[in-house]
Amino acid sequence: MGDFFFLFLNLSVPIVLILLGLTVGKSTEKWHFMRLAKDEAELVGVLASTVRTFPGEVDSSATPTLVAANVVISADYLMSLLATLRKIIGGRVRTYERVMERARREASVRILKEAQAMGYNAVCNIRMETTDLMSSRKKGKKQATAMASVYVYGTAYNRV
Amino acid sequence: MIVVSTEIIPGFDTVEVKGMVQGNTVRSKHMGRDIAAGLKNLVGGELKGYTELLTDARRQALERMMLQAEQLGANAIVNVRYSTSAVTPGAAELYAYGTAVVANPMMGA
Repeated sequence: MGDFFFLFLNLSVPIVLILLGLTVGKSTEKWHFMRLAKDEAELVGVLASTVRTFPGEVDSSATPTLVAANVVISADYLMSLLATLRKIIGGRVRTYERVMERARREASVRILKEAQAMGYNAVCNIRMETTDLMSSRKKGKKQATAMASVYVYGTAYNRV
Repeated sequence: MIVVSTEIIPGFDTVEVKGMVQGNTVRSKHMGRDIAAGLKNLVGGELKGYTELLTDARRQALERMMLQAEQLGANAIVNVRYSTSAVTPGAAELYAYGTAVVANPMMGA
């Protein structure tokens, strides 16, 4: 009886974490994707491009300026667990793909929003970078859940 | 100060190149943020503490670069790039670099 109690105690933490991933994690992700789709639809009027020149006719009455945004998104316990299992056989790690996608899209949406708030209608020369925040974990210490840290910057300008 | 990530500034003539300017900052996260992020790690989602930390660091790197350009007597920085490196565990370096130039508004523009 005592053994079962301790077994239960040991298992309860991962089980609670998996349940959290299934409920909170899943709904956060779903909600985030829905909001991203909504924001992207609203930002259709802002032209985003990665070219080095300014596409379209530039309205030089407004001086172009740099816009930038950071996003750090973490995976939940369930995602990390699925990824760990995936590592055994290899292949696409879809859970992490979604985390990266969320971070990149969120950062892009933020610079476009920033540009729009400043009265610009286009952003060119967009660059994306990632930062490493994970290396902070000491060796031997339990591996923390994965994090996607993305930053995006570009030049906002006014298109005629 | 005009700061852009492109090579040219529409409506402006680059009259003089003052040279390369850069700004960097190394930031480490603190315990409070680490604990909050640790909890957030369980359920997933955005880690706002880290986002703020990196945004602050990025701004500071940019400000330092702009200060350097000002000292050179430039009024604009073109071709700005950001980059990061993990210097040591627990700290991230953010640096911004670009070319300081003197840009004058085009005549008749």
